Amino acid sequence: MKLIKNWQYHHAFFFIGLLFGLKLIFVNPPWHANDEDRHFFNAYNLSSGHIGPQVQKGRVGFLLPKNLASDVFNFQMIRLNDTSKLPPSIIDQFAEKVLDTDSIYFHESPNCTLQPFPYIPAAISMKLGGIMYDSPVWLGWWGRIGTLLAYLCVCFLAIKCAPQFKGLLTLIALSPMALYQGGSITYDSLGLAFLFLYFAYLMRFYFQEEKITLHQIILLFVIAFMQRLSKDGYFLLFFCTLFLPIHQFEKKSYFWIGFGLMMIAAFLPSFLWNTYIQSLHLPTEKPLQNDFVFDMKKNFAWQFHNPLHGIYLIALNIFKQGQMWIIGSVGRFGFSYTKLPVWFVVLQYLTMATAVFTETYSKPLQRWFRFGMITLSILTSLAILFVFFLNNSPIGSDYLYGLQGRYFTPLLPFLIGCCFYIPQPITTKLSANHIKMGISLYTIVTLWYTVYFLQESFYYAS
Amino acid sequence: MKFSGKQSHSSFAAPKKLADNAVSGLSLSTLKDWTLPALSVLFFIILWIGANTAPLNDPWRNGEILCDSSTRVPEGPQRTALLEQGGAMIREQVMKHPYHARIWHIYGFYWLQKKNWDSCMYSQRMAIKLGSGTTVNSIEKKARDLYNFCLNKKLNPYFSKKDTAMAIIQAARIPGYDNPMIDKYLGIVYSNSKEYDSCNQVIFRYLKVNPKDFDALFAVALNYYNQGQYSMSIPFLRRAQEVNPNEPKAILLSKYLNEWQK
Repeated sequence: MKLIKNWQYHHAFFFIGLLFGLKLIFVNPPWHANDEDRHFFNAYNLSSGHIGPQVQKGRVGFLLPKNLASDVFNFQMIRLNDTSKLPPSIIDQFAEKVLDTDSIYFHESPNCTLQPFPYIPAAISMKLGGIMYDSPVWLGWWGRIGTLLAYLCVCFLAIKCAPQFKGLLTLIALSPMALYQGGSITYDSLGLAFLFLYFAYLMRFYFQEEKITLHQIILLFVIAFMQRLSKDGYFLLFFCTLFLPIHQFEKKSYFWIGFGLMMIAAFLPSFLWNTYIQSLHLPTEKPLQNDFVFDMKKNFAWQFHNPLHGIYLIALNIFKQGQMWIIGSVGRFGFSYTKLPVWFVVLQYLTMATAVFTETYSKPLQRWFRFGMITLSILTSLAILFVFFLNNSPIGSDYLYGLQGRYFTPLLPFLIGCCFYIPQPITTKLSANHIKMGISLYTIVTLWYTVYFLQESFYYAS
Repeated sequence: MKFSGKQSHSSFAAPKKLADNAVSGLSLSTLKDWTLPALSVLFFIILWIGANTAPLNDPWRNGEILCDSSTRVPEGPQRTALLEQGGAMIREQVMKHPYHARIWHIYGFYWLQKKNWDSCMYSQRMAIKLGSGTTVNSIEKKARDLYNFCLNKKLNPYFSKKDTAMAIIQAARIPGYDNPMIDKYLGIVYSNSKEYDSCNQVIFRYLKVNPKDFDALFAVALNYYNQGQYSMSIPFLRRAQEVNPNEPKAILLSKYLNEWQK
């Protein structure tokens, strides 16, 4: 009973996340997560001691063991569905192979100039784990384990530090999509985790009775900096600090120092990395995709020659693909784009909303602050939409290409927390412990179902 | 760093002011509190339902759908109308976006239905030229397959007429692009004109790339047979039959070779 009484959200998160995260790592077919093959090569390159890409005969990419590359390619382009599944034994066969580092192959990678920071946990884990098992498949699993541990640690801190919305953060960080990303080799994992940590600290600043000190601002800057080192696209959210009440800061100047530091966090990492990459005078990277021409300037000129037409098309895309994005923010997995059932997605959103409705606050969440968070979240969503429409969709295309719901998962704490905020909890009959237990049980059941669902979707019965 | 709020639910007692403001039943403030959540749910529902109602497709995709639909209706005016409508849509897109490899590839399907091999080959040549050397969503292989299909159709009546066939093959070469099928077709032309050495030279080069191509394996077997080198012919015939055991011409050649062995 004492254990249950002292049981906190962050404890529940860590144990449930570790248990089901590990399960997901092995249920998810090797390199099957979105773009995981390319991220894996980045992580392997880093684990081999190279920070940046390598050049050979006017090509840019990575030097990889031949059988590592061939095993990765063997698992690509497989759309797993009802008619096409993997026999479980095939994974075991691949896992028994030994990495042959003597036979080397130069792989031209379109992702080779990405920042190495988000691959550090995977690279360390691959290096250490490789001592035990070093087959290409096992290296992939080690990489996933390293990334998962980093994800769990950062989210653990986020949930522990958050003064409010602990239940919501637990639900989102343990949602199938977030945990699936957390247990894959990708920059999304740390990108997600640091944004959750940023949200937690923002809430902490808002709800603390003491004034915000310079130390705290620097801490928030470090979190934002690490988020930006992991993934771009979400830096607008750093400016949520502008909506914190200015009297909350120890000195007025700290408010502006905070703003300045967030500007630095938003732009310095990519500036430094791009400067470094430019200094290497690398050959042109192999294109990722050229069945269509992608060019932001030309597409902008095409789509927005009549601004109303461009805006109309984006609005149409929001309606057309909105449902898919909502589903994708909760569970749409890997290269197969396997979707969780609709009822599951609706249930997940209802549960997240309920977690916010049952929240008791030490002080009201001011309109101005909520307005700021919602506005910046919407602006971030729109920025993502515009970038995908103009840069990732072919010139002249009406359809918005390549945007997946998982890109919106990091925004969920900001959006759900603020949109579903009500000053008074909807019920007082349930104690905090009941809610805590309910949320923990809910995540266990949903993750158990997810693992079962993926097992059934990806593999033939053994 | 001091911080008062350690727990999100129980350890915070609601401040007095908030408790005082608590209202029972429906009131204006309650309605205000619930406005944003209600609007959020409404937005969610609109997005959810909108997916089934919003009409959206790329113009070239619409053209492709029409061309594809034309193949599913019987020969007749409706089929022609669908095909021409789709073709016109894709043609317009090719004019607007001549830099998209995929649209050129799609345009080829229109010409394929029209059995206009030259135009189909031209569109695929453009798709190959624009869409080579990519990592994902490669169009090159599909375009090359369609190109070779049309080349085969175009060559078919002329395989035995060496000069015409050679002129077609020469024109089908894409500068700076390696298309192994050209070697295969050359091999067939040489074989038909009984130039066995030239045939073997190009066919062996082709077999390095496609070692399990029945036509090429059979062509080598037949060459050796025609030259009276039966023992050389047998292994190629066996390899060909491993690929396609039921091919009548291979069964026939096998019978001749078995008789020779006896």
